[in-house]
Amino acid sequence: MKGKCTKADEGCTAPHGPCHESGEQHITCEHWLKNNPEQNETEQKEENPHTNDAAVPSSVNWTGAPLKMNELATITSRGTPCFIGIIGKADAGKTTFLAMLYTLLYNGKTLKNYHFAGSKTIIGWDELYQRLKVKKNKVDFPDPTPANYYRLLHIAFRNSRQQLTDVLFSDASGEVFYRWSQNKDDASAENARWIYEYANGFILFIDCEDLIQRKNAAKEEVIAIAEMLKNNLNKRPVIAVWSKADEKHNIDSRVKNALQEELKEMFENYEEIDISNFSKDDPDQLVHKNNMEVIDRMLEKIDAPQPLFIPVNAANTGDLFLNYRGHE
Amino acid sequence: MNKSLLIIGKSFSSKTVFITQFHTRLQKGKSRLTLYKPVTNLSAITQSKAALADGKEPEPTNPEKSVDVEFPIQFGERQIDLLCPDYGGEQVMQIITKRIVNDKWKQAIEKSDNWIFFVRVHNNSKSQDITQVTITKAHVNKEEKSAGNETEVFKLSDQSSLIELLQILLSVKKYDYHRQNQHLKLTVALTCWDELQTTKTPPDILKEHLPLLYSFIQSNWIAERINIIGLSALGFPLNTQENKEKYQYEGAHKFGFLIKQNGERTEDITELVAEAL
Repeated sequence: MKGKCTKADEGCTAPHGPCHESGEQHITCEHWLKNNPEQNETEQKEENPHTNDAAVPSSVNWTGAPLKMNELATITSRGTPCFIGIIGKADAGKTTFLAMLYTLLYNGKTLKNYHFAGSKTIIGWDELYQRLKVKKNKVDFPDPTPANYYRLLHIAFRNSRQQLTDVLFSDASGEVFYRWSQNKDDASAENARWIYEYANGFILFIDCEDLIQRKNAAKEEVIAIAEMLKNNLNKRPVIAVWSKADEKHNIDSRVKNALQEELKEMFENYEEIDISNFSKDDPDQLVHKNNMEVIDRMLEKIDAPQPLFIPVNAANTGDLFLNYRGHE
Repeated sequence: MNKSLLIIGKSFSSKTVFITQFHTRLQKGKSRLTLYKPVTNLSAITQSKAALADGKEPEPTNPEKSVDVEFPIQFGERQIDLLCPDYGGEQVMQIITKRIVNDKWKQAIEKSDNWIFFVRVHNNSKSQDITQVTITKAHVNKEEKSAGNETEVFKLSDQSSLIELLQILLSVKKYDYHRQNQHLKLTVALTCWDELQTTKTPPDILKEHLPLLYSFIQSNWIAERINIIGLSALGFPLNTQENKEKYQYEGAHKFGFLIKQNGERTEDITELVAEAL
């Protein structure tokens, strides 16, 4: 069908999202072109005002689009960024959370200690923001992230001491986290492994709607991801985010309490927070405050100085006073 | 002494109207800034001058056009040759969409440490999003998103595009984000101020209408190098016969005003350049 990809039934959302298979622009994808042969690359370039003319090189070293792993030099060349891994099952609201974050900043909501100082992926953020606009009384919301898609979104913040902090947010499909939770070495879970290896902290998404509908089965899937997360955590912070929490009261209390208890046992200094996309008031705690609070808390935890353990030379000096090590 | 002033603004942000009115005021010699000798080449603003004299708003500048207007300015004891490039706002749109800064623009950016950024806040259409209105699950669009709107083209929203424009210009200027701008002075001129009908100060209006842009500017410039000013180059819109006649009979130079950062009003619009220098 014209205007759709031949792989639409398998979840490809082109032209509204990137190619289902490669994660690249759909205009070069053979599956898209089968249904839309007339939409060759040239026509698309004219259609999309934000497409650069390849014949004339761009004057700047970033495209504004979300960053691929091999494009991080744009950020890393000016310092070590803080990388927040956003982990969770498919349809848990991970991408919508990112869209909410930019939308709230766009409308003047602020973090406690950090101020917006720019972004190398502003086109990516703006695309997400536009998905949360109310058009003809309807909201599109971001499409499900394709399985092979993996990008990073960037915001530069300046703290109260005017120091610059580059923050990267992962935007990857929930499907790869599920596969990773079942088999750490799954060939198709490369993106999940990369995020796990490099992230400075994690936001673990818990889908309240899924817990209401699939009860313990949904809970066990969250636990499986959390188990994998705990495996080699090395004190990196984890914040559990209960998404779609306007419905949290409808989760069976046995399922909810058991999940909370198991997570508390797994993670030292367990922290959780409820968020939602549907506001009842203005400001609404779950929508306007907590979506920002997640990032406030995460940056605070990543920024917190780690306890320093100075190794003490235990050599016996032969002096009773110098050898004293307290009541060991 | 040569001083280059870079005037930046998207289409319809009233850059040409300002430059034209600025020249008219300089000519009259009753402003804070005056001319120490006549401007030698006025071709960039000839048409807009004629339009204003006739009580009409000037046509947008031809996108291909890039003409420098050089103003020999007397500023107190100092004589400054002020270079103002006049260009179609469409050129600026191309910097944002194509991410290409041509050599002429590069030179202008590199040469100038005084930028005036023209922003028309109420021109920035801001349709509502889910953080501004209460919606329910009934509002979620469950239809196939590709149906019927496959021709819909993504266009960067106004606020994001203004930030990206500054980011691109700062990149050409080789700005190091580790430190706030100490030398580059940024004057934000909020144009068509009369249409806002407000008693608030210009910084408050910028923060209210474009808070992310405001944060970007506050984060990347030291306070002493930011100036946010309200500008009404015309004084009122030329959309009624009565208003047009005021221009036709009294002259364009009689109208227009500025609201300084602290809210103080002045009828002398040459102060915008004095503040930006």
